Amino acid sequence: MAPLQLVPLISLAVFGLITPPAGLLRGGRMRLRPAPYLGILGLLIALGSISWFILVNYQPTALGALRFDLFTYFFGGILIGTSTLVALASLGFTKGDPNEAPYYGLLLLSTLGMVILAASQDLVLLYVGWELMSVPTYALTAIKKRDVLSNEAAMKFFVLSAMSSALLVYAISLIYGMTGSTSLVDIRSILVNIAVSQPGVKPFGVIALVLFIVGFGVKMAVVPFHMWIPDAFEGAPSTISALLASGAKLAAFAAAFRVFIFGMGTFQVDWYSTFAILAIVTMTLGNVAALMQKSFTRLLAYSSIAQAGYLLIALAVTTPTNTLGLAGAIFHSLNYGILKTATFVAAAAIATKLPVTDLTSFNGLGKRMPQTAFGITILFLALAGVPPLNGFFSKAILFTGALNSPFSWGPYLAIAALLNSGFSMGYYGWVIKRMYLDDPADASRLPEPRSYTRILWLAVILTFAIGIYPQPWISLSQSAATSLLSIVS
Amino acid sequence: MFTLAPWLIWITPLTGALLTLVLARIHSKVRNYAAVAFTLAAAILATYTALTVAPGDYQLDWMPSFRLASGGSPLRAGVLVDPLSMFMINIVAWISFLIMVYSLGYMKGDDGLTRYWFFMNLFIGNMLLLVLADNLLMMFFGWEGVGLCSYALIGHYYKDQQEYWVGTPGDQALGMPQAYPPSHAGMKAFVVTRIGDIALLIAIFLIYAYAGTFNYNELASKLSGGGNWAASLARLGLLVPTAILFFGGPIGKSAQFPLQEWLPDAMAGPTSVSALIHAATMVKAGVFLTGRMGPVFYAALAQFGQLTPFFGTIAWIGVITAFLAAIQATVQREIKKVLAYSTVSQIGYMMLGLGVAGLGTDFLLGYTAGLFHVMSHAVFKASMFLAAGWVLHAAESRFMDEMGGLSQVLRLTTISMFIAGFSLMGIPPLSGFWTKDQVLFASYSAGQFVLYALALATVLLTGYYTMRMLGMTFTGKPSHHLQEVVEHGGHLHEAGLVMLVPYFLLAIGSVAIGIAFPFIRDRLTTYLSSTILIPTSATAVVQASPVPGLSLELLLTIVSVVVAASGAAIGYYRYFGGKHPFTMKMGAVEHFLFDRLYLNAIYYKIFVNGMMLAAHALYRYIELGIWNKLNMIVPQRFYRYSEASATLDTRIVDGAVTGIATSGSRLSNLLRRLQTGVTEQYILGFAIGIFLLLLYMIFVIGAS
Repeated sequence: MAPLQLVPLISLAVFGLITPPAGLLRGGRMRLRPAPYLGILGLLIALGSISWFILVNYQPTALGALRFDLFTYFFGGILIGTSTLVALASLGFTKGDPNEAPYYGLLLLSTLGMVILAASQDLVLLYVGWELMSVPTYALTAIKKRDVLSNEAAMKFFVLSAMSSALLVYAISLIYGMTGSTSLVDIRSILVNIAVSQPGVKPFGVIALVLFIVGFGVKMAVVPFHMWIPDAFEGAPSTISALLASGAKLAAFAAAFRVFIFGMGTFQVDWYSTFAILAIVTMTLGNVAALMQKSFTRLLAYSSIAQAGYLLIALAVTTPTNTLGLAGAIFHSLNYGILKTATFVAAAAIATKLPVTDLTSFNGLGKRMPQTAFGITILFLALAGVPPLNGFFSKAILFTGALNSPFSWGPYLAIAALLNSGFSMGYYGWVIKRMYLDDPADASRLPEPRSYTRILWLAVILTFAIGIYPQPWISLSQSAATSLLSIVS
Repeated sequence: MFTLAPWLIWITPLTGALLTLVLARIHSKVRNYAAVAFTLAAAILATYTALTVAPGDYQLDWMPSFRLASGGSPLRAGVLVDPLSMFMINIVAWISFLIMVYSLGYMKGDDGLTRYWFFMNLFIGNMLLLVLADNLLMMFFGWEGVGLCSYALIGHYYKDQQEYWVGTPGDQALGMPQAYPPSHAGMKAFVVTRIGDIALLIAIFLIYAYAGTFNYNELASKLSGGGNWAASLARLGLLVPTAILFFGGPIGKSAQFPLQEWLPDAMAGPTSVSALIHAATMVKAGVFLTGRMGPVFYAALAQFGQLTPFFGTIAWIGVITAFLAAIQATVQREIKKVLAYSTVSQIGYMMLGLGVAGLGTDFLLGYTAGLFHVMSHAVFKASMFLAAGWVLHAAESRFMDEMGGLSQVLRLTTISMFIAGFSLMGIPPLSGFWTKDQVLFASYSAGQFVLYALALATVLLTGYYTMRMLGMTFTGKPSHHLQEVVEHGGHLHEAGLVMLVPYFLLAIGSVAIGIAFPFIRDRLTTYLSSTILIPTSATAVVQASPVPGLSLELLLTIVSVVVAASGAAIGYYRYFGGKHPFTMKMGAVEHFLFDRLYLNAIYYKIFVNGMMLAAHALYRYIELGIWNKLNMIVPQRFYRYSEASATLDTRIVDGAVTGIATSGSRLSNLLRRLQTGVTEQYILGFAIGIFLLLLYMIFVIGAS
């Protein structure tokens, strides 16, 4: 019997492959436009099946190198969900574009790569997922073929991303050399006493660890491997920036959780403090730099870097006995995915009429584009962690995880994150102030494309819904966190 | 045990500094009042801690695995609550608060206010950290932090408009110009103090290498038995050199001879900055550090009978500085420069007090004399600077010869200035009288009669230059310049309350301290004597004063009052009523003094021009001369490289410098500039990141 768990993967793969040829059916008198809808159908099937697995509490199983547990389902759901939002938001933007069909095909294949990343428990498969996720995004970033900025962004993104892939391969080979296996389960059990049985190899493990941090860090937006992000986000179409900022980043985090917390969790090196430092540096730099931006997309880019800093806390404080931080990060990933995707969609909506690279175009936006402005306000408040929106609860759990950690620096990490969180209100509030308090140079009302406002309203509703009744999501992420650390056969 | 209050004292202003950037986005009023509120919070916390928190070392783990291979204790972060630190932070925090209030009025309308508040609070936080730190390393962080803020604040008027320069335009000494723009003055302060800091840093690491700890308490307790670091250093003959190198830091920071030249030029900053940083607090950091480590060095050196070289150096440098600065103050043209030289001179007194502590038999007498003078000087000098700030503003000039007769229009300011000025001169019963007198008494009773004589001569000069300053500014007929100001509708009137109250309060404080001092002196002395770092061996050496008590003290007091009064009388006779106007046509001696004993010019000739010449020569004869003959390609490459590095210089270095000046959010600017969008640089950043991570993993957590 074909395992049912493969349905989301198969759906993404099949629809991802048939969408581009379906684009050939375009046009004619019937004004057929099958490609986008086929793509969205594929995503919805995948999302639906995954939600069903979560709802019925489907038996966790391991299928070779793939592992289907609650962590996979939950993260898979977030990733597919964000891609669905991106696909829906792109409907207006791709209309009439000759590359419309490949756009959705690539989007689905990239999503497939992300889900594989979250599901794989073997380093080789993990690498395959990594490349499958990355390669389509290069093309997607440069989808506006005649746009110089877009092409430059894609080029930079490609070079840096290729480097990160190379470092990952190197890290994997070192781990393989140490343990003789690429399976994370084996690696976990071998690393337990490697310091005793083979004391000489420990430095290689440390190097592998660093290379993993850097490799994943490029996509996770960890300072100082974040530098491509502002450029890429500014150059890419806003919807693709949304995909890079939420989907690709969260998938990298999922992979990092698997590798560090599960696979290398038994390695007797205090890498926790490394992540704590990276977390503080990343969030602080992201927030400080965001405050100084004059361009909205760059501001969003830096705010996403700062958010990556919060998520890094999970890697710093999660131990087998303290999974609260991880649960917070998983929950925060859900919220972050929704919020970040939607803010970029808002940017796309504004970009149809105004230059988003200039924050002065936000002056008086509350009167010119009321729906978009309202959406941005709610999303920003949630990102800053204002109760009772969803961002507040996930951050609270994440920071409590840091407080509860067995490390002496845990409280400082929490305080640093808290201060940063307060600090971030500076630029979020600043944009909100511009939209509602400052007078625009030109006060004319602007049209707001429906394909974008739909997504914004959906995100706002989700933000409130999760924020007002967060309990199911919290317990779900807690179970997902425990499932990551259990061994499934 | 962990109590939050002592930590919060220095964290609060730092948080305030960061929040300034955020609050500035909301409204300028919110930003201004919040900045002052954070300083007030720090001041209240300081008093609260002094009154309620038990003395002790409040520590946290910092880098547990960071330690010397040969042993030594793990690095812990801590704040030290003891009489000395409490004494100091209460002075610093409350005066800072008053000056911040004053700034509300004084800096009104300035367009760099976000930057101003940011650096002011950053400064206060760092200063408090410097004082509260329980170890040399954290102290050094604060030390460098205040230096950085001082640099940024001196250069506050970074656009270098002529009105903000310091010095008489066109004045030259030995062919070197003697007037400087604010940005130059800031850079000068930074560079000159750095010389002392390097010496300090070397000393700190020498001590650490042998003691294995930075912590003051542990340093004090490791002075006997097996781990005696002083003994290890003494065996290598390094103990006295280490102590003197250590004193290099205070020499630079407190503008003592021969590194005093930066302070007069530091007056290019806003007057509130001069008052806070270059009179009341930062320049006292050197005195504080000498006071902090003095007892430790005393115990260390006493074991080997090497007290005289170290404490003698302190005392002599102190008294030389006091004398030289006072004599230069007698010929100054700018009111702020008179105050600046007088500050240098008064700090010399404090150093003298700390120095003679180790030379005589009564350690506590000189030690407390130095510290008491810190307190009284901080109060009256802050008051004088703030009042001078208003005078400058009202008269629209920084030169005293362009003032005159101001007492008619600025009544309250005049009263305040006279009270503080009498305190500076040492007229009883004002605070300056008691504390300066104790310094004199301590140096006499330590048997240092030459030191005493020089200090007494300084008293005469102090009386003279203070009266000269008061006379030229406030009495006589209004100058030509003032009449023009009035004609042009200038605002020649009394300061607003927000400015008047701070300096008037400080002047009254000087009176109050003066009246109360005889009654509280003994209690304060006992309080300070329980500074936990005065090691037991030191208190064992301390004995009762050998000189038969009161009658001598009374005699010395009368002598010093008479001397101060006669100095004042000469000043009064010469300068009151505009009898003796200032002129640039001076006699040889006056010129010599006015041109800073040519020391400044000589420093520039040797260190600035000399370095440039050497660099040019190196480039011309070594790089070009030799390489040219070797290979034709290399020089080309070199040329390109140097061109590139020149661009790097102008872009990055100069850019960074103006960056500091142009925006309070310097850090953010730098960050933004880092994101240049060049892929090669990204990859370089990558490589550095990997490298740092590996370093951290291998060396700090010791993962290898």
